Amino acid sequence: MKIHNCFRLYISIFHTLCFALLFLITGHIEAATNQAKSAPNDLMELSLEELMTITVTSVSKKEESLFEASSAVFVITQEDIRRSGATVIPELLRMVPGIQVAHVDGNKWAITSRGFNGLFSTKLLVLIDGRSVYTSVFAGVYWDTQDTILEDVERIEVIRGSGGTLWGSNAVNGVINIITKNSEDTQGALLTAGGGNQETGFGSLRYGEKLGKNAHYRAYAKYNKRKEFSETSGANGGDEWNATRGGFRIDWDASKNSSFTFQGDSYYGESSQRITALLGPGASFLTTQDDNTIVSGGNFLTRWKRKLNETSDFELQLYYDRASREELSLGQTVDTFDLDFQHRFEIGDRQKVIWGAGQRVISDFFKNSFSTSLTPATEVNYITSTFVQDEITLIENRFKITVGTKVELNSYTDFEFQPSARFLWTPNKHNSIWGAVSRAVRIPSRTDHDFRLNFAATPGPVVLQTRGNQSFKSEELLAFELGYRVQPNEKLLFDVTGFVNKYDNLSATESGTAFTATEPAPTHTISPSLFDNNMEGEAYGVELIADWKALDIWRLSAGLTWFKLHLHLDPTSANTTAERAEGDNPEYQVNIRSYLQLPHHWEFDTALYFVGDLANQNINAYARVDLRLGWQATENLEFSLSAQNLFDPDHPEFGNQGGVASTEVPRSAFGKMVLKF
Amino acid sequence: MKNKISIILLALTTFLTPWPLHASSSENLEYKVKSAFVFRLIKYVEWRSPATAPITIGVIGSGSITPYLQKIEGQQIDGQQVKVITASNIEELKLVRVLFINSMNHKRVKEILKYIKGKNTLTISDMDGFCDLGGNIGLITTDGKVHLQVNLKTSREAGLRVSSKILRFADLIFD
Repeated sequence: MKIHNCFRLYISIFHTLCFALLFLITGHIEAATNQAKSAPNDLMELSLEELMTITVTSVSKKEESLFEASSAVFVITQEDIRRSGATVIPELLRMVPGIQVAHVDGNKWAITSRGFNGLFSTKLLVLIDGRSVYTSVFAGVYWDTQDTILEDVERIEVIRGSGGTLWGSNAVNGVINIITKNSEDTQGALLTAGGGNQETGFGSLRYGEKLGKNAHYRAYAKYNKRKEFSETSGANGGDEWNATRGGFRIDWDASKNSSFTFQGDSYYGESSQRITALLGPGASFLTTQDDNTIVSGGNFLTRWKRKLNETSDFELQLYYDRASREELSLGQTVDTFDLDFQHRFEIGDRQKVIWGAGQRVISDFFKNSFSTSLTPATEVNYITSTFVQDEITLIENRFKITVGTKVELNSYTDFEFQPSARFLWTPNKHNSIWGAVSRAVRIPSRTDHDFRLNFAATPGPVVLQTRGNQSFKSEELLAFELGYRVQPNEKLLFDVTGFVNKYDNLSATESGTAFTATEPAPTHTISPSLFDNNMEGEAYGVELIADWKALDIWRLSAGLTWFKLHLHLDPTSANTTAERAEGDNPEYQVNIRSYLQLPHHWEFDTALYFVGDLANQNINAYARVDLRLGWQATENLEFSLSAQNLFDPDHPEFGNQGGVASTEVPRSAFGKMVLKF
Repeated sequence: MKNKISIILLALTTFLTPWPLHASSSENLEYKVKSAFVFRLIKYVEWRSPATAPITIGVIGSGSITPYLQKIEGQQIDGQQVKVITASNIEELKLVRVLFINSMNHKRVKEILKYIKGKNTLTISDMDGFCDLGGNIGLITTDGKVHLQVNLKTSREAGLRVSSKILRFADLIFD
């Protein structure tokens, strides 16, 4: 509550400040245009070909495309990334309204869109360059292994709300698309290095050049080492983290109409954690151990894009991904093969059709333990999918509707339909209103089916067990969204989205009949709870984005999220705790970011994040401030100093997750150098 | 907590005072790149009538790009000086080699193009659909990059020969 008041004070003073500055601005705009004339002129020396490779995306362009979207889209640009001072992808997502980002321990995050947060938040799909990094084994994302050189990321598109029609199952409440630059845009060498109190050392090297006449490549290597966080007691958290990765990308324009992309990465890291587990049926106490989890994996992707004519093209993509994780209580290796085809064409002037088909095969292998296991220990699952979507312009430049559906066939629930209908009304250039009704499903994961966790024991001996359910069904969503965007002038943009989500067949455990097990000795009684689809719920919320280019040198962005979730167990359910998951999400989240350009090529960027309390995780509301001071020494050399969580020695952001100890986010600072040559 | 908030406020207010404007924003970069395109394009276009010094670029209409185009003045192309003149009325621009048309009402664009017809002038603009309106070369920003669009028919009619160097990278419009 205290934080709440302070925050309100902060906001009101902030507002006053903004308005006070307003009148100053008018006087400065003219100055800005005059100053611009003295800008360096060496672009004149570039060839046509070189000019075409320069990315000139400005806020206004981003807004233009935003105005044409009939869904809640937020784009994190390379400029946003550079000036955030973030060293990992999860931290970048804090700026997106509707997305909740919480550190669980030093290398784990609970990240979700529109509710249901947890270490494995099951309803958010994440893709890197078209490759899904959502694990269909645990239904979630291992964020510690999702990384690349952040300077090589072109943009991150975050779509809140259901994306099932285009993206398929598990894009229930949102999709995050991480898109890296074409290798043509990453030519030459880029060296980054730095370190600080938490980020004890990091560095990366990327090199790109031409490959023959019409192709470019880049290759990179990156290393990060982070110190452990602390437990609430002040004890060391046992969650230090280091990661090494490397990769490449080749983009080849085979002909005027055909282009190919080949890319791949591989990584190895130690994501340590402190876990509490039951070692055997005889043990009446849980044992806490420091677990030096080894993560490794790699992927290879190839994509062929072909333009058929002015209004038609297709894309064929194939990838292979391997992810291994060796934890004390479970070892896993998951291989994914995915083939995806998409074709776009137009019918007349008014209809844009996109359709596609895909096949994914997932093969897994587990090293089970007494505490955690999946049976059978190895299995192959598949998802076959097809979709079609038609964007129909009813009134040119004014009104269009988009209808489509995805049809999927999967190993667990057979056919799933995910239709949606959207409209976009742009009464004029500066206003747009959109709305959508969509159905989405979260199909069962391997865990929902075949999991077994012995999580506690009582004298007897009795072992308490959570286990999968062979008849687990898909979780279902029917979503209603309405959005409004307005650009009162070139410098100001507001974007507000409201939604009502209706969920059915949500997962909650239900106790089953006790039975006796003789293996492993001693003979023990097992008291199981099984995953079940015994809960329904409604969520509603409002997300507000404001972007203000106050001056040519100063940009302000703000995001506000209000979110409510109500869960209802079936009346026959004996579960007494599942509904508490309502408290896994904050009711309010606010962020305000300021990007300021100072004289002599200095930059000063600040971000304030406020997150409301999480009742079910025992987490109090917190405010976090990040700062970055950057200096562009020359066109090719940049220094920066970043501080995170500056005004707070430490705070927890999420509770313990399935035996994994949560630790507290400390105050941290680091210096960084970026050199291009 | 109250103290912390005050520190934040202090930090923000100290730095949020407007400073003299120096650095270039990404918007500036867009105009700079487009201006550089205009400069480069001249090298790869041949005019039917022989060149007369200096090479004049006319800029019509108002747009944020104008000050950047003015920077081309004084540059040299094949030993000839470049001169940039701005005007709000097409009648004020007599015999310019290149005409840059800032984004404006399509009806007015058509009037300007009609007026300039047969005067052996290269028309360039960064407005959407410029080539469809009958302009010669469009600078179109898609996916964050500036692309070229060339209307071959109107270029030919205007007595211009557009080099294959341009055509290789451009989206072509034939009618």
